[in-house]
Amino acid sequence: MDFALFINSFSNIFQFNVMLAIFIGVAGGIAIGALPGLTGTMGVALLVPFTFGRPSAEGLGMLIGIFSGSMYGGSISAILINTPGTPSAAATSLDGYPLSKKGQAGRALSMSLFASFFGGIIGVIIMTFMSPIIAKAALEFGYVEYFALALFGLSIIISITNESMIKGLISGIFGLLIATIGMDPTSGYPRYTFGRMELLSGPSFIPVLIGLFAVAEVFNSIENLSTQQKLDTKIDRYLPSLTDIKRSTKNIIKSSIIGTAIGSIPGAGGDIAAFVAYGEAKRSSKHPELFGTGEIEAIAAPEAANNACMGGAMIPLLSLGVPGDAITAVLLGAFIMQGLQPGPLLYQEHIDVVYNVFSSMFIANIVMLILGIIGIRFFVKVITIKKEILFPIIFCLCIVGSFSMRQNIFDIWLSLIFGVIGYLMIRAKFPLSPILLALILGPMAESNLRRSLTVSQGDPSILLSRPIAIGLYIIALLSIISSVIKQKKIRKRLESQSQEKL
Amino acid sequence: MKEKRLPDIVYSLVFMMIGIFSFVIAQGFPEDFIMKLGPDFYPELLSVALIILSLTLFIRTILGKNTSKFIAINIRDKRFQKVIISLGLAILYAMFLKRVGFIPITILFLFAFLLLLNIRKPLTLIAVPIVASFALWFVFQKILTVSLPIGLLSLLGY
Repeated sequence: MDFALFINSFSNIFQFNVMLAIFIGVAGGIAIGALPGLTGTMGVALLVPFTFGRPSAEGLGMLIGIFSGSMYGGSISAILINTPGTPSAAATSLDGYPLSKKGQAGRALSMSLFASFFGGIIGVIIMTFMSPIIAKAALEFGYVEYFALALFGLSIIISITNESMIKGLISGIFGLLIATIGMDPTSGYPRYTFGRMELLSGPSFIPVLIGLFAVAEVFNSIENLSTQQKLDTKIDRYLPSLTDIKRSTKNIIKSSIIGTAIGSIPGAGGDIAAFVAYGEAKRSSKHPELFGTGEIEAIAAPEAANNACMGGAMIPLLSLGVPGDAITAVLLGAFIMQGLQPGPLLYQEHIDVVYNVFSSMFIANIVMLILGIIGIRFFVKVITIKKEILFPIIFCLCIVGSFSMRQNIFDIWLSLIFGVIGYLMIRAKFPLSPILLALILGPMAESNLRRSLTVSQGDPSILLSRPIAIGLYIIALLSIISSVIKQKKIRKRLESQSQEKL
Repeated sequence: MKEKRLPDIVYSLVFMMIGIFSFVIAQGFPEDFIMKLGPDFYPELLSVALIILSLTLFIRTILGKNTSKFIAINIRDKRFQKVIISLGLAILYAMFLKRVGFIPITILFLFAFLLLLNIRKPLTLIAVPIVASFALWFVFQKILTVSLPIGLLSLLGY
C-alpha cells in the first residue's frame, strides 16, 4: 500500500472525462438495476462496447460505476414493487416492501442508499489494503497453482449458482470446450475453426457475452412479458433520519465486513452476501419476530452487504486474475480488452491502474450517494417504462454493440447464436454464469495444465506437488460436496411441503 | 405445473452429441511428439467429461431421479412464436445491415419489433424507431467513432 500513489491516483480520476464516465456509469447502473429483468451483468455487457477505444481510466471507471449503481438500483424496485431488480436485492424486498406498503417508501429507500454507500466504501477500503498483500503472495505461484486456481474458481461458481449440480457441471465443461475454439496457445494449431478466419483468435468475448446475457434475456423476457406495474407511492424523504442511522450503524458495519468477506470468495456474489447479512441481523436483533414486517435494520443489513461485496469480489479479480461471479468476469474481460491482465503482475507493472481502480470505486460510491439523493424521483419513474418499447431498443443495442468492436458482421451472428444457446439453456435451467467463467478461466486452466504436465513429462502427480494447489483442490471439492448436501436438503423440504399440501 | 421429463432427455442427448462431435474432430488434430501433449489433449479430456456428464443426466432423467421442472417448448404458444419472429427479425437485420445501411434498417427493425410486441399507438410506432436509431448512430458513430454501415445512403452521395 503506497499512500502517495493512492492519493496521486485521485488526480487521475478527478478529470472531466473520467468523472463523466463514472457519472454515466452510476446513473446507467442504477436505472438498469431498478428495472426488473435487467441485471447488472446485462447492463455491463450492454455498456462494455461504449468503453472501446477509451483510455483505461475512463472505460474502467464507467464499468465500475455501472457495477456500483446496479447494486443499489436493485433495491428501488425491491422496495417499491416487491420485485428485486437484481438477485442481490432479493433480501431487501423482505422488509422493504412492507415498509413501502406502510407509506414509508422514502424511509426505506433513503436507508438503502445510505447503507449501500457505507457498505461500498468499507468494501473498497478493505480491498485497498488486502489485495496488494494477496498479490504479493501470488507472485510465488507457478503453473500448478494457477491451474488449481482456475479449477477452484470454476468449481465454486458451479456449486453455488444452480439448483442442479450436474447441469452446472455441464454448463462449465461446455464453456471450457467453447474456450478451446481458435488457435491453440501452445502449438498454434487452429482448433474447431472450420476454416473461418474470424474464429482463429477464439470466439470474441463481447459478442458471446452480449449473446448469453443480453440477447438471451431479451428472448426470455419477450416470452414472459407481463402487465406493467402501477406505482402510486410517494417518496417523502431523501435522507434517513438520525434515529434510523443510530439504530442501524452496528448492523451496517457488521454487514459490510460480512459482505466483503463473502464477496472475496470466488463464486459467492451479492445475493448470498445479502442473505447472510440479513440472517445475522435477524439473529442478533432484540426483536427478530419483527423481521419481515418492515424493520429498518433489515434493509440496512443486506444493502450494506451487497455493496460491500463488490470490494470483496475485486480482491481475487485484481490480485489473482480470478473473477468471483458473472459480473466480475465481465470486468475481467474488459481489463483484458484494455490490454491489462489482472493478476499479481498487474501490481508490478501497472500499479497506477490498480490504484485508479481503487479510487474510481471510492468516487463511484460517492457519486451513487449524490445521484441517489437528487435523482431518486427520476429512478423511480424508470420502473414504469414500458418493456414493450425498451426491449426492441435493447435488442438494437445488442446488435450494434457486438458489431462495434471489430466492425464485423460475423460478430453479430456470433451474438445471435449465443443468444439462442443462452435462451435454450435458461429455459432448461442450465446456469449461464459457469459458461462465462469458463471462457475466462479456460485458457488459463489449459495452458497451465499443459505446461505442468510437460515439465513432469506427462506425470499427473505434479498437480499434487504444491501445498497451495492441494489446499485449493480441497476447498473446491468441499464446496461441491456441501452444495450437493444442501440441494438434497432443499429437495427433501420441497417434498415434505408438497406432501403437506396434499 | 406438470412435470416434463422429455426436455432434459433431449438436452442431455444434444450435449452428448456435442461431446462426441468435438472428440471426433479432436482426433484429427496433429500430435506433438516433442511436447507429448498436443493440441488434442485438452479438448479430448473435456469431450469425455461432457459425454460422461450428459450420460449421467440422461440416466438420472430416465430413472426419474431428476426433479427439475420446466415448461416444454410449445410451438403453438403465441409467446414462443414471438420469440421466433424476433429472432427472424434479428437475422434479417444482420443480413441487410451492410447493404441497406444502419439508420434505415434500424428504423425498420424497431418499427417491426414494436408492432410484434403489440404497440399500436401511431406516434410511438413512428417516433421511437426514428429517435432511437439516430441516438444510437450519434453515440456509436460520433462519440465512439465506430464506422457504422452507410448502405443506401451512399447512393445519395454521403
